[in-house]
Amino acid sequence: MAKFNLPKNSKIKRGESFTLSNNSSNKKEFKVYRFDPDKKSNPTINSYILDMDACGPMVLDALIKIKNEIDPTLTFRRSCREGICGSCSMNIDGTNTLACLKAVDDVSGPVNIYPLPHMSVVKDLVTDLTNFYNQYASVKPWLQSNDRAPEGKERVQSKEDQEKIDEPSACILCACCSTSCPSYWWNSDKYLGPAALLQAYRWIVDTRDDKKKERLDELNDSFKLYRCHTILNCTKSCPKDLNPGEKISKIKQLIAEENS
Amino acid sequence: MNFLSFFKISKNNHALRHWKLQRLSAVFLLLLLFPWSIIIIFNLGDFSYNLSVSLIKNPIIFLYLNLIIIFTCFHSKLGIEIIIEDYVNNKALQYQLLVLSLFIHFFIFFIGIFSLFNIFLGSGE
Repeated sequence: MAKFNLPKNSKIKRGESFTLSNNSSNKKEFKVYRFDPDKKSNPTINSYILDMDACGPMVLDALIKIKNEIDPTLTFRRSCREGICGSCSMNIDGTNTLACLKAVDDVSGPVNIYPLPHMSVVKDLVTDLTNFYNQYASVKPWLQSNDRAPEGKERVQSKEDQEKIDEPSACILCACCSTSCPSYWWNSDKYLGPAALLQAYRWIVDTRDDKKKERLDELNDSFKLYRCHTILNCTKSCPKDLNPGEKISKIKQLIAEENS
Repeated sequence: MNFLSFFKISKNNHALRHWKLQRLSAVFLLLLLFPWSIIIIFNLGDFSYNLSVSLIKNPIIFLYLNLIIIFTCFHSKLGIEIIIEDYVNNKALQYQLLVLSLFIHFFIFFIGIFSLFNIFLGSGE
């Protein structure tokens, strides 16, 4: 059965509190999920109060400040700081998003920061994305053409054909969409999830690719594709404003066309 | 996509067939329930036993209510199947629940149809 209760060792307890803004009038509290597998203790929520006059505007700036000035053991992924790499995806204020794109001022009250939901936690805000990347690889996200590329030239596409793949190509694989999807929560071992399906769509509609039928046949499965119940959490949570829900529906339409 | 081609249900394509049938039955159900809800709304307050029986004795309404029961049971069976597949990961338990769901839906279907026939053929009064 789907598990609706957390196991005993996953129940979150109250953690420590730290303050770095003694005389500031511009304070902000950050409640951050902490879990260290080496300590073999339950996860905790630590509270950090920062002086926002001495901190950058984004949640990632605050996390970096906490790590640099208060607690160097705080663990999270980050790289580009500008919404391109997708590393700093986490659950902030109840929504999956990128810490580098989420402004602290957009959150009223304490900023609650958790790892991506329903994923195994490696440490603190770092989740295990092995299954997610395996699912991405399973849709064969590369060009499969029957012809060799022209000697010394690119495979030329019309502007209209390029526009078809513009949006799905903008996906940064941050996993915000997949980990916000209840269907993915319950069946992440079988359902590919919005991110992998968006990438599958990107190659299905690419006019240079010659394996459209094989790709559609591969996806035509009760679990891989049809676990999507159009809940659209994926579309709401995408920090790049993409629409995986719509693209999944289009894959279903293409399969229906292919088999009609 | 050709509109009529959507109605073509392939037998050897389980996932696609299930997806199409669920949507088609939902559309038919909407089309069927909308006029029925209008009838109910306009008769609110005057929906006596005798009126109900006389409505069901009308052959068109009798046929119409049969269709509602058929599509409701069919659509519900498809939906419950999905919910069981979603939430029950244990294969043996999942199979048992799917069979149980099938029996329950057949039971509701037969009770509904039997009741309508019972009234239509006169012994329901």
